[in-house]
Amino acid sequence: MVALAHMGVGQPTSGRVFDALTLLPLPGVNVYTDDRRAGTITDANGTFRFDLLSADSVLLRFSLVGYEPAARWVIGTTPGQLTVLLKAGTTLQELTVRAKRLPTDSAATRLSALTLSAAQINQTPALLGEKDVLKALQLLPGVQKPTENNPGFYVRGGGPDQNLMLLDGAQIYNPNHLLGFFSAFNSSVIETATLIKGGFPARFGGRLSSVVELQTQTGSADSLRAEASVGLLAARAKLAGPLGRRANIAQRPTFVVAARRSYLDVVLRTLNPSYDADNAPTQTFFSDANASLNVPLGPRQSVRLSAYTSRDEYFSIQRQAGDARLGWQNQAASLRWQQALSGQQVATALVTFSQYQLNIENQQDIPLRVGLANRLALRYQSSIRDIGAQYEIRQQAGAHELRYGGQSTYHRFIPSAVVQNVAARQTATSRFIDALESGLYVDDTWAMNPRWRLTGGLRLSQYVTIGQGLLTRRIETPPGVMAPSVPDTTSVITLPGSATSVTDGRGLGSIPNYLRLEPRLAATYQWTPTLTLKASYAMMNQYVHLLSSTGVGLPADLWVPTLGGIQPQRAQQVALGIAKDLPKHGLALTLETYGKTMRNLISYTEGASFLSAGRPASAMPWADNVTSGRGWAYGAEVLLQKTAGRLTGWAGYTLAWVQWQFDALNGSRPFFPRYDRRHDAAAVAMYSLRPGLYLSAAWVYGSGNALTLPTARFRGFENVVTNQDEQRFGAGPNVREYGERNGFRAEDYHRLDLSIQFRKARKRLERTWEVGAYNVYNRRNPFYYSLEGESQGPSLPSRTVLYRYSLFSFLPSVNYSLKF
Amino acid sequence: MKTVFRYVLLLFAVWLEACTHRDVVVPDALSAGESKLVVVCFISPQDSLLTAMVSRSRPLLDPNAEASTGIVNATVTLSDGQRSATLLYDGRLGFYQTLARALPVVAGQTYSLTVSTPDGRRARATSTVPSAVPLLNVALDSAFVTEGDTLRKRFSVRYQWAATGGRHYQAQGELRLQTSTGPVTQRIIFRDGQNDRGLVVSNAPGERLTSAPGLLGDVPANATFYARFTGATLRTHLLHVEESYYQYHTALARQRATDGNPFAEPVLIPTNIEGGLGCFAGFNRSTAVVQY
Repeated sequence: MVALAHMGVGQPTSGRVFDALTLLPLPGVNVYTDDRRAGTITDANGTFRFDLLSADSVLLRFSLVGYEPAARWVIGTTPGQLTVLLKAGTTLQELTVRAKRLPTDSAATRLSALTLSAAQINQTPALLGEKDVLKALQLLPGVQKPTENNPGFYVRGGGPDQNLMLLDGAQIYNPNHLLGFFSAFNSSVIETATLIKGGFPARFGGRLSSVVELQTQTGSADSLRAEASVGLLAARAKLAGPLGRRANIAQRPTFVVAARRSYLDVVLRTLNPSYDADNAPTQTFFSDANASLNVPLGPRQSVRLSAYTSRDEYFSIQRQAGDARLGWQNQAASLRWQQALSGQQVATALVTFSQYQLNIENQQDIPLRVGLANRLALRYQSSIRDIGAQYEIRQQAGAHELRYGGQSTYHRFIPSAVVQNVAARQTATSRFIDALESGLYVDDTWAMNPRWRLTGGLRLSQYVTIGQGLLTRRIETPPGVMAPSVPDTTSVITLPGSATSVTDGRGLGSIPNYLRLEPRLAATYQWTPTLTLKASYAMMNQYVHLLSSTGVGLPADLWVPTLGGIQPQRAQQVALGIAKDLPKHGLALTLETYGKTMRNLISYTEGASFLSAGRPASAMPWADNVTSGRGWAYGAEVLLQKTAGRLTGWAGYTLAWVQWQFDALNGSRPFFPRYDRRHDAAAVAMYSLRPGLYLSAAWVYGSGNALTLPTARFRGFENVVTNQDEQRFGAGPNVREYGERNGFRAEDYHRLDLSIQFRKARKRLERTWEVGAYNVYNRRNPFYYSLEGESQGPSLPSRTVLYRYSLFSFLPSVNYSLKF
Repeated sequence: MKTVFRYVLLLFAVWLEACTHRDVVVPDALSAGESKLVVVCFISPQDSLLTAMVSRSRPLLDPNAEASTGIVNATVTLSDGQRSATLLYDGRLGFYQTLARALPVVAGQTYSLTVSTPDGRRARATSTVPSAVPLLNVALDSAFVTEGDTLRKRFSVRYQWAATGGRHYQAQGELRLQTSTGPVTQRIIFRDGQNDRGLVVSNAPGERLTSAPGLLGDVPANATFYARFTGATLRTHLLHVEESYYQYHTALARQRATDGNPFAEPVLIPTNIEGGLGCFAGFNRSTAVVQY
């Protein structure tokens, strides 16, 4: 495709392209003139725009992989919006898929939004060949990854909880597999991944820093397709196709089912044949499954049902000391109904369900007498469950495109930790908190004239705590364990505002109720056909928070509500950008700069620990150990994309600063949060050697994260009032001097990954071998640092040593997949 | 085929194990960092001695862990702006001291402390001595507690006062027990969920405050206090302290309480010493003596 080649400034032609079945907007549709002298690609909203010379009458063609091509005549003297519906059913050639590109050139109407297609995700090299949509997003500028191979990410100075992650409209709270090494999404079912870093449309709310919209595939309407792959880490399978054999292909229901499971428990079991021994091995596995059903209800209506589940387990079984188990699960489902109304209106209704559960259990037996033990258990259970509904109208009215509607989400939080005796018929008690988060919104995109395009939006968000109460559940007693003489030590954490009776589930001391306006504004100015200036402003509020002790998105983090002294987080962001196309070279360059302020960020206080060794977790109520503060971030991002030719890819660079200031942290002085990273760069290249043989490479670089490490020790003398003078400063035990919070910088991170794909298409199937190598030049990147004692020899005191732990030096992989 | 697959997985697992590396690193900030002066000095109108502890910090990766960090040749000067007193190192006590009459400490007065060493290091701090706040009540209590499978009677003390001064206070005390073998003196530990140093902060002026329970000791449940001790003297001290005093002592207690807990957030120890570490703060003490 050639972007806007040979076009002078003339009448603007714009429009949107939708799926004829689902009426969902189609990103990445090739839009080009019949003579192929000019063209563009639709953005994440299915929108395209470019200028025609006046008095031109041209035939525009629309094509997308998996859809029947369409064409429309456009008269240059009659500007206006085109609405194009593409019908599913035609599979284009493979090379056309490879030509799909990021719609972030000058024709893209929105600043700070990037879209990755399935092809780009699946051609990017990945650890052990496990294609990962979130890791692919990490390679874009403005997104910083936390540590080695964690799929969580930090957008423009925001924390890991500030990303609204939507899978077919349903929210996903913990997108991690395998303790964070892989994302919880099966890339083989992802159609597109869109990341919005700023200038948020008003329909999005509830998070400060980014929106990640993942859309899964809808399935082919023409024939049944199957796909299976086997890698070193996991196996996956997918089946998709039509249901029934209606003659009208556009009216056929379609479906997709896919599943994935890891092998790691098998590997570890192989490594440790002594599975039944007392010190049994730690085992882990993950799995996930997706399913969707798309049903056209006549020519103007469609319904889509999408479901997702994922599970992680990490456990060890020790007969003497009891079991230890860590596990988490995501479940999500969405039901989307769409109907084209009279005129140029499309109505969408969406009902969603999502749930995230984390369970940590650690049991320890305290021997009472021979044959009898008292088993104490730490049960750390945290969950958040959402039920949501949304209704929206999209309407074209002259030069205005309106999008308005409302949404509401009912949250149930259960953040708890309990230490208790395990005894017969004993129950565990957890406190729940119910809250309702709602929003009314309107967005108006106005094509003022050929050069100016304005988008104004307003969102009215509301958050109210509905109630809280107690949940109990029965604990089963393992054989041979009882606690006859020790009183029950079950206890429940206390929450602010809960001093009054709460057993009826409605007894709230104070009920937080927030109503806030969030203005949004975006503007683009088309300076030349290949150069666009863009600006945006957005205010966002966030009512749910992730309380993290490490800031790396480890599963032990707690999702907590706005409650009592915990205020909603609020951010304001301004972004400015330039998009420049270099069509002769098939390049697109984007420069953006941003500034963001954040209020009411939360963090643990100094010394706080939810999992406190030797102390009941109930003694550390989380809300009493939370402090709030503010933050600010600013930076610049550069993205250069090559979207045409045998060599495609992108290179991105981010220069960024983020600082926090909390009254109760670092002596009230500003400090860099853990994920502050000054420089971040990535380059991704994909090269087609010949049909069926593809090379790809990815190089990433990041300057070191900010960590808190002690730098020195000194004797911590104190004031003791005593008549014994020699004791008036106490014993003066050694204490650690940290300097500034997060004052230590980890070493820079960089690595190169390579992969080569061999594809061979036969009559009814296609097979792909992929051979890859992770961290080709064997860089030992820091995973974490640890201070440990080391002996200096007999009669000498031990000394403190700082170790850098690294994971994944040079790591080859091979994957084999079949498509039917 | 199954066997081959099994060996491939085994090979892969071994490779994964080999992919984890541990390397010793020696960042300059932790090894070559210059040691800092550590100055600890608390002044009060009730003290008969003016005292200061001067030492140095030691880089974390310093292999010479047993080397003394005390500094014995510093020049330590206290001043109220008009008069000054020099504190001299006392080898027996291990800190710098002089008699309080050399520079009377008065509530409301601001004092400055200057420490310099022959190698050119210099530290400075200021402090304003708070006013006295009287103790209103000292309550003794006892409770039965279970230790293992033994029932014991535990004695404790609580102080009450009104926050008529500033916001920050500390409860301290000593218990002198008369036993058949002679007197034994022990420091009272005031412990609650927040700290074990008796530190209290008020939320409103004039607020009536109560200390955490201070543990006096325990005896078997069926025994009495006098069965073990022939008498006791309880010296109770309420210290009205500066905020810097409160922050420093709170951080010391928190860091010690979380020592060795990998899940705990790090605790930074604040300092008001310019050019060094430690704390220079004033306090004003109210004392009540209870005789048994």
